[in-house]
Amino acid sequence: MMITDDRIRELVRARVNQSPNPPTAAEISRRAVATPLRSPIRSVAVAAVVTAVVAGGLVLLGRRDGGGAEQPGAAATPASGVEVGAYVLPTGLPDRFRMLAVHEHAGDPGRIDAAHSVYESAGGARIELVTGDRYEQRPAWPDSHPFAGGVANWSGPKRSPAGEWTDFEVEFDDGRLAAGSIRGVDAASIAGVLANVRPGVDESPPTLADPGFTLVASGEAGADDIVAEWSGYWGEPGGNLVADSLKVTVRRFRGPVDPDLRVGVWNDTAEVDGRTIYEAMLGRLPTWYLAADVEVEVEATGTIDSLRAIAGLRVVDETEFASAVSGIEAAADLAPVIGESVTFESGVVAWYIGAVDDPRGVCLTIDETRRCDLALISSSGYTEAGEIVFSDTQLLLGDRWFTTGLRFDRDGESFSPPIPTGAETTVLGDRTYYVIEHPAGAVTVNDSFGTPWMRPAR
Amino acid sequence: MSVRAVDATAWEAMYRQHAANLTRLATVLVGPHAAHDLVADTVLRCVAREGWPDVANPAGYLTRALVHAASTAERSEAARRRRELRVALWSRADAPATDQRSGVDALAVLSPTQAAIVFLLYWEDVTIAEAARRLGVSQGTVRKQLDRAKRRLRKVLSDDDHR
Repeated sequence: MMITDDRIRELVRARVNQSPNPPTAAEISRRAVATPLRSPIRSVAVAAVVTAVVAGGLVLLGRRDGGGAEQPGAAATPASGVEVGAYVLPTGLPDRFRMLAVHEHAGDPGRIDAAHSVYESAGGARIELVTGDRYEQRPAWPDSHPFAGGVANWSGPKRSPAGEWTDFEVEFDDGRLAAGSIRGVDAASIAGVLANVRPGVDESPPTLADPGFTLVASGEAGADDIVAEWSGYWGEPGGNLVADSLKVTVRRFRGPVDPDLRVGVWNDTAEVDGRTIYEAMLGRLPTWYLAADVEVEVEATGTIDSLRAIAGLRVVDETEFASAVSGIEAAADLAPVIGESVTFESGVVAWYIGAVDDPRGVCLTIDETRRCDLALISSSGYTEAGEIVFSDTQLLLGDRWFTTGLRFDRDGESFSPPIPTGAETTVLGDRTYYVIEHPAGAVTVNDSFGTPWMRPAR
Repeated sequence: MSVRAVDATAWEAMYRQHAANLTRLATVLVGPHAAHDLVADTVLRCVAREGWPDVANPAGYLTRALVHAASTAERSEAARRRRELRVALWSRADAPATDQRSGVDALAVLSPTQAAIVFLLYWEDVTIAEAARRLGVSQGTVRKQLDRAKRRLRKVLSDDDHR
């Protein structure tokens, strides 16, 4: 049977004719604003302190300072709770994850969950409070109740497998905001409870001055997050392979780490290797939480490999963490097997670390100096058979920002981005290497597709 | 969460210009029931990114992000269950004419990349070079995936014809 262009056009037209109305810009904005809990799409200011190298698939993340969790505020002392470990070490990673970067990100002062507290009543009602933020576009709250000192707004209840909850926002007369979710309080009583919300002071979260509720958990304000990113790939046989990533954020948290404390957050769970992982649909973007001794927030594609990596996270003490760090760093120092060096006409030399078909990092030398700054491969693509197709690396030499990479000439289906315009290239066998120096002072440049590259942090 | 990028109004003008076509593409990728959310979530995720203001080709960026998001969703076991349920409900509820029903089901067998290529070539009538540019793949990949898409469509339509 032949299939004609007209037939395909007809099929597409039939499908397109079923297209719903597009979401409006205002609706999209509301999705962001109406998400009072943690969200996977927040902006963080990078203050990279720790960068570790993965060797043999071993990955780790953790803190350097080793300090214990601090009290979030004098008015917000948990009635109970445990100080959780600040170091997390995955027990293993899928083979397809090839490298990682670990950063310590400064807490984003603008994020809505900079500080939060959870209160519980004897009857099981729960309320989570976070410091609110100002938005130009505010959601339209269907319910509103003025009280002495402010006005409480809420909408709900919303439903999930975890039960019903109501999102709210309290705007105080002095302009400060508190936001959050409440569960287990009947509709007629919500206004009364919210009238007892008090704004957070400095970095402390809002509080609830309701004698019927007790503080059971709180998140530290202004804490640095630990963000670990694994790069990998996935794809279907015969299809393109797509870069994948797994981002794990660990933050200090006081109180019993119980997903049930997170009011109405999860909509699904997964049992992986005997551990339960909770999928939260915050703003309808999936985020995974591991119910462990430490609160872990993960952005992942949700593949079984990703979930297994999450399930394998475990809390370790500082000694074990330090040992793992030194082991990996030592391995990185010993490992620099030069797979290939490439000399460009300009005199730039790229030294690839690892095997030619499995590079782990790149050193660049310029101007015949022997200075060689190492950077991990920033992104790469592979065929379904695991053969590398391309790699790109962002690298700083002094204050000069370079992007260097290679493209394999494979007759595969895999995605391979074009070499950036203006780059200097050298061909070795079936590989085309390139290097490009970005303008002085540039922080972001666009690749050939318009996708931004970011100047790497030191 | 930070709403730095979401506060900005610059993206809104761009989005309004492309909203209808992005939603059509999403419909081809994931069906009419999930298209709305796919567009909203993808746009939200993109515009909230730190580098978004520097994206030179926002429409192309969103196109690739939609395809990626559809691929991601397809890989999700939960999404798979939802999709199967949706198809089942769809089949019972809509009971469209045979020809249209075949078309709907036929497109569902395409991978997100293949569906996007078919959409761009047969709905937007762009060239292979332009489709490659928008999707961030080589022209060779577009040709190969188009060939595979046609073969898949041919097979599923042939099967339908023999039922």
